[in-house]
Amino acid sequence: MRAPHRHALLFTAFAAALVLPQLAGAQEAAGALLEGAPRTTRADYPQIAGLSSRTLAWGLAQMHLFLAAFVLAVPLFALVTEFMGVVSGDGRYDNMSREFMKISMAAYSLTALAGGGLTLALFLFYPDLMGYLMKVFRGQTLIYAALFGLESITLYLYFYSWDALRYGNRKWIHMSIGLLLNTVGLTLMFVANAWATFMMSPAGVDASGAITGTVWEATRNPLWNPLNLHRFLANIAYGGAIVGGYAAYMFLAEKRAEVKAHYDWMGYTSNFIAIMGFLPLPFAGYWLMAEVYAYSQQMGITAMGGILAWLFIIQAVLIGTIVLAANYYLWSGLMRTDRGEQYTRYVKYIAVVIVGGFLVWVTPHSLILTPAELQQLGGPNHKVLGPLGIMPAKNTAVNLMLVFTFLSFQIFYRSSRVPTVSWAPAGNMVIVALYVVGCLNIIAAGLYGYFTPTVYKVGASVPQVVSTLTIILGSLIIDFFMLRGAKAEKIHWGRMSERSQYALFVLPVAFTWLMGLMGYIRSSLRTHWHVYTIMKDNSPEAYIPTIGQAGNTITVITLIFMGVMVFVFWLSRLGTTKQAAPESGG
Amino acid sequence: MARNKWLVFILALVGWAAVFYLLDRYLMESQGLPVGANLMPL
Amino acid sequence: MTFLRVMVFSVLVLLVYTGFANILPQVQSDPPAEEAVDTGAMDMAGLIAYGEDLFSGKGTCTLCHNDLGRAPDLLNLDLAEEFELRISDPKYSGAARGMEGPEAVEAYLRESLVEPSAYVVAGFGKKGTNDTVSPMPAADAPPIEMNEVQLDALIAFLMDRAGLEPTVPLPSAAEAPVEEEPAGADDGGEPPAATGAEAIEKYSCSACHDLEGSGADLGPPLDGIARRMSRGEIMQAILEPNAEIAEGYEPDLMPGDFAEQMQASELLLIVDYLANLPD
Repeated sequence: MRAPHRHALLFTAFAAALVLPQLAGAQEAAGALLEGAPRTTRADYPQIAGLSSRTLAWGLAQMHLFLAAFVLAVPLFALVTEFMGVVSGDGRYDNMSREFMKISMAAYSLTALAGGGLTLALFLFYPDLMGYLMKVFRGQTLIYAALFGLESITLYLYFYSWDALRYGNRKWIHMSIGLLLNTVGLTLMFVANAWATFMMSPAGVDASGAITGTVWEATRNPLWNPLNLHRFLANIAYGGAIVGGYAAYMFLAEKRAEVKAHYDWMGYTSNFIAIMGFLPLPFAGYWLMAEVYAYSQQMGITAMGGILAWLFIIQAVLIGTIVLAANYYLWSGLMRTDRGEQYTRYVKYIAVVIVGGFLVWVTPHSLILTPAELQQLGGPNHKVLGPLGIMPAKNTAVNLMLVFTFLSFQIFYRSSRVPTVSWAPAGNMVIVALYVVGCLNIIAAGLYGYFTPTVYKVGASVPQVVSTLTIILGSLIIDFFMLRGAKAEKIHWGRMSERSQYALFVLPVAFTWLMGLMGYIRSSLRTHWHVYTIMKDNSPEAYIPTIGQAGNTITVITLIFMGVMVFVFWLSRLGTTKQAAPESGG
Repeated sequence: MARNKWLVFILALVGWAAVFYLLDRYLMESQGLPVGANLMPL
Repeated sequence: MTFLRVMVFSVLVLLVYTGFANILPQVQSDPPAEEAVDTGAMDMAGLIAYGEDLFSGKGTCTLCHNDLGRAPDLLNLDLAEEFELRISDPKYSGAARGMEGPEAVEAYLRESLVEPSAYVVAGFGKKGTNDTVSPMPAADAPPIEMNEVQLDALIAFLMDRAGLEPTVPLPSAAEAPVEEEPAGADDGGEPPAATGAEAIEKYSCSACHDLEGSGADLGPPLDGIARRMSRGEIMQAILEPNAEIAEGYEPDLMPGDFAEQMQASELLLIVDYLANLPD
């Protein structure tokens, strides 16, 4: 079936799945307004063919999220790259932008497919929960269905009109379509986020679950905006990482020098996008956790101090590898310019901070010990390393790692530009001073946390993040003025080691697994509730699985996703492959 | 020229220190955490 | 060839993460178990022990009340001194104000459990509220959902740790707590009936039996039933109506799901009520 028809069919099926229960529920909605959330028993959860309903829903949800993150992110940086092409007049940006869209086209229908599958699984295995959520969100589900239609329309318009709307005023029309596409996509995510966060921090309902507020109130629950911001930023980082992986693969597989150069440039740009999206993420994550704590201290502590605490150590390992990989790629990039050589001496210092920060971050505070170990250690926490396990140390480590990652990026772009302004030496000193004071401030705020009650510890992390952002923004602004009219060094795109490309593979793999892990944490925060404190989860699988089980599940889903992405990329290559016509007279 | 550079550095250090101090004060106080008060040992 | 190398590399990276997740301490968290604790025969020592169990179990108190500074470290503080200080704090204007002795402590503890923001110990309030709002959830509301007996047990436990003789009442048989609400109870959050007459009305008994002057005769008359049946038999007749049909009456008329619908306390109230019906 041709793509447009397939989409239309999917959309209709999806809309029907959403609309029909609505119509059925509409009659009862009026009279049942004061009815609380359903109280389910084990028997209310259908068991079908011995399938694990939780694993199925989890797998489909995760696939949908991976794909959705990708297809939301790509149009975003495609639009930005397209805009850069208009502003700089460099046609390569436009080509790359179009290539971004091309490699992701196949992913859209797969996203909808996974979403449709998820919806079916949810309604099949958790009918009472879904019935309740439909009642709470009422008309919004129809809006969600309609948005899919709009997304399809704008997507096809944006992609297929590329050449027809290539130059001048028409280009601006094209970019407006792109903007509309991004807006619709973002709205879709915001709507879905409302349902996910309602399950964690319900609003617009009373203690028994009876609907007392409007749909907007249920949507605007305490965790909605923090999740919106976090997912928005994470999508960008994730999309950049996946495209970077694609570019790295093409770089390795290509033999022709100029094509290699193209993919090297694409890899660099994608890595840049991934880092830009990644740097503010800890701040968004912090806001999300802060809101969790504000909504329910219990929920917050379950996450960070209770049974889920170890997961954040795994998170530290994952983010540590991401930061290291991204940095390694940047350091390797110094070989692209002839001047780059003189900056390589800074690399070892940056590496020390990054690895050191990672080690601090990975250090746990409380260890689950056997009695013998307890005796040996002399207590539940290690005397020397224990203090490194609490928040002030971790925040300090993270912020320093981010600052120095940005520094890696800064020395790379500086290596290809020689400032020509007269005040350059002074300007450099201002930047150095900024780094020195900023880092000291981060460390000081961290130390402050050791001498103050918990509330101050948590509060002190805000100046730390703002310091990081100040260093980054300050450097960028000063550089903007200082590099005006700078002498551009030739960047030899394509002059990169093979090893460096593997760093670009680590990024999407680690990001994908990390997303799976964070999803597991987010769902587990609800413990044995479908809708926290309002609707209990009485299904047979209401327990929180062990990290090992979760890790295994996440790995399997990640492997499937990798297979899907290979398929998606292969399809885009297939689209440009032409079989040679057979010799005539055969 | 070289001396100039280091002078700028010192001045910048002082300048940035002031900026960060004010930023810290503002950020802590806007969270309702008066800095300097209530410093208790763990 | 490149493809294979890339795939193998990626799978290896994945295996590192998977391996890491598997070597860490594995903890499975189950939903709170449905335990029906027999408190009918409990003495004070038993109640205190039950309270201690709840403190680190269903109550999830140790999540915050530990040495990490989020909440007062109840297990390591000198509770006798602490309670004294708080009740006599000029800022304190709660239920225990003006009271003295163990009763004051009981009142203070009960208030702390169900109304944590009534008084917040200095330094532990929610950020920015100047110690007027507590981050602690009410212990009798979801997600903790302690019932009356469990609250009493917690109070007894803490009072005992403060070296005081607990002043909470011992639970009687009529208050046998069931951890989870009976499955299928669709009362939409309505509290259980408090008297026998209320329960009779709630379950519409007079629709079929001649009670409260209804004159209904779909089911047998129940006056003087205590002379014909023991309490146990009355209970069975309510929970399993089709087990024995009275002569001249039809089977399958009386609802057979009272076992799921009724709270244990309501059943006991109804049995009491019926047993006291005059001839």
